[in-house]
Amino acid sequence: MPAQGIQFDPARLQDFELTVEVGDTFSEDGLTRVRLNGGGRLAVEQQREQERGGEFHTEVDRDSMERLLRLAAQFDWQRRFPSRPGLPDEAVVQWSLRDRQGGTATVKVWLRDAEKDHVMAPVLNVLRQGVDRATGGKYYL
Amino acid sequence: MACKDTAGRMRARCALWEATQRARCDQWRTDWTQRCDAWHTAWTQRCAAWHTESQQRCDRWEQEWTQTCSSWGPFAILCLLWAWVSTWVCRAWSWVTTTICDVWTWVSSTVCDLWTWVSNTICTLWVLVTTFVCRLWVFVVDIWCSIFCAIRRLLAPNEFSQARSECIYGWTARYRIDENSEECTLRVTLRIRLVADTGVSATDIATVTARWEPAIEAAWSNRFPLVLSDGTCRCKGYTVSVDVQFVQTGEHHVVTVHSGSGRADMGNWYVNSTGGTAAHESGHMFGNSDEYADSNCPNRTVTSDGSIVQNSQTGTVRPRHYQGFADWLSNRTCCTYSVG
Repeated sequence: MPAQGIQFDPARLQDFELTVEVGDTFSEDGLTRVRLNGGGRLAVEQQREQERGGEFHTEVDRDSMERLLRLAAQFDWQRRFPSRPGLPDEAVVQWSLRDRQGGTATVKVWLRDAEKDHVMAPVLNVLRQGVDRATGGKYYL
Repeated sequence: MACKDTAGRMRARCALWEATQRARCDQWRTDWTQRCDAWHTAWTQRCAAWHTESQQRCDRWEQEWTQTCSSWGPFAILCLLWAWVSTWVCRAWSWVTTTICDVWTWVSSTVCDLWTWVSNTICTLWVLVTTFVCRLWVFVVDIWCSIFCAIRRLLAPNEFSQARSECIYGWTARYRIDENSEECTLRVTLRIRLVADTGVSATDIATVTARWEPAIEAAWSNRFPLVLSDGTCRCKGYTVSVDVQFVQTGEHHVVTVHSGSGRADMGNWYVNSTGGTAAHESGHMFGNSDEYADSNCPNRTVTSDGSIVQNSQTGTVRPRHYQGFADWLSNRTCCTYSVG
């Protein structure tokens, strides 16, 4: 289902930005935030309570980025959270897709559901690889 | 007060009540018997004294008139006749009054004895009835206690399972628990089936098993005694031991083991997850909730006493985390145990 009010246009790649936040600032693993903009820049940072860790970057090629953003636009952005009770310590994933010309869509899902979702899982896997590459394995989603 | 003790103490109270009331009745009977005896004795003596005195008066009357009659000359016979008649009347009066006195003595003593018997019988009946009612109540309480304890025991099966819910999280606490009242020990068995995710080898599983099992057992075993706080049960305290078994079937919980590092939760651990993480997640398997802050759960109670469910790497098991075991034991034994 396309993001409500957001239509992905590959011709305006630079107008789009996908952000994913996994975890919680108060949890032991902290919150890991990844921003992927239409220019191909992937930025990773971690936050634990009031402290922010350093920001790490890597680049994503255009084709991969377009594929990721196209998939993100197909997320079920109307999905209700929580859709089920979570397991203790189960992390929450918050996705945000921003179009500079059209607004922002946000959705929360359980991490284990995102890992099994046929549209979210490939995006998550690519971003995990990007985080691993950018931080040398220091952070993870 | 524990149910078992309530019935026991009531039984003792009934026995005490019965003994006390019987003693009171006996005392009452003794007192009244003595009173009646004293009454009878006093009146018997009074009647005897009256009889003696009145007879003596008649004797004196007869004597005096007999002496007087000797001076009456030819009319002495008239005098003697008078003396005889009047003396007879006197003696008749003495007899009548003495008889009335004796009859009074007998009637009043009989009434007194009857009163003693009636009141003692009423007292005895009172004791019988109240003791019966008391014992009947004890019987009812005993039956109730047996039913109550049987119901409580149903809440403490060996294979324990309980739905748990906290904020947006929901899970089932599940484990086996065995009570040994000879050795006063509680053995908690946690059966976990590890499922290897892609990229996790059998060697990895062996490695993590060797790391996690002792960590969980060390964290959770012999932390606090469960102490008897109410009721009469054989064991004044129990020690708790935890045995973790990684099984292929019959598990209490399934845990997927993922490669590398990641965000562990109760059903998903990682090859690089520490023993502390495993011990923390096991705490959830025992029914405990997380105690660290969560922006999704603003009303959560956050603790700061070094709890293992607040910080898995540095925290330890706290007394409140044993409460589930204490509650199980209380239901099983129908006594009340608390975490020492």
